[in-house]
Amino acid sequence: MTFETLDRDVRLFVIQHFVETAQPPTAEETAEALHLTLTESAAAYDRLAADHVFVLEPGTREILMANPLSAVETAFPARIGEKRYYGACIWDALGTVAMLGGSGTIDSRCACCDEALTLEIDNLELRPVEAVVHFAVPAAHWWDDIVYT
Amino acid sequence: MLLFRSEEHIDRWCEQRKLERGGTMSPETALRLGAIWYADK
Repeated sequence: MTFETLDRDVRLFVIQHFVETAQPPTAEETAEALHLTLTESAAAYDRLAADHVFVLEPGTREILMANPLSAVETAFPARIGEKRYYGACIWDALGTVAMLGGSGTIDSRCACCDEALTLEIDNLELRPVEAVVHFAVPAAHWWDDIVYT
Repeated sequence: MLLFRSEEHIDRWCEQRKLERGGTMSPETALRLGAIWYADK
């Protein structure tokens, strides 16, 4: 199996696990599910992190983000059906809804005044809402510090 | 990327943090771009 095939399988498994459970699998769980050694699974996590597919907790192989999904609660929860996911930012929350069928609700807040801002999306159509997305970091520098971005 | 009530709230937030104002887009545009971005993920 090539690294390309292995990494694709690992990525797919991680996203499917994340979507089903709202949490990413450990490298051990991925190894077991895909019949890999832990070394192979961990190396795939490292390559996918180097390729900016995953973000790992520093010094570990725990997935913090498998874009657009965040393993930790954030100010950007996306409710889709009975499940709740978290985006690392509003872009990821909108991307989560887009990725998972195109309908859902994002219960966010204005970053300035903390007023509730609810984005209701039905079949990729956003109900009218007074809100603006702000990119404090230019796209060319997103990965300089992706957690800050 | 953060969400704000209005452009004025972005200005206030940037001023409080002494940050340069960045680019903006409507949530509708961000959703459309996200749909394209994540279509094959």
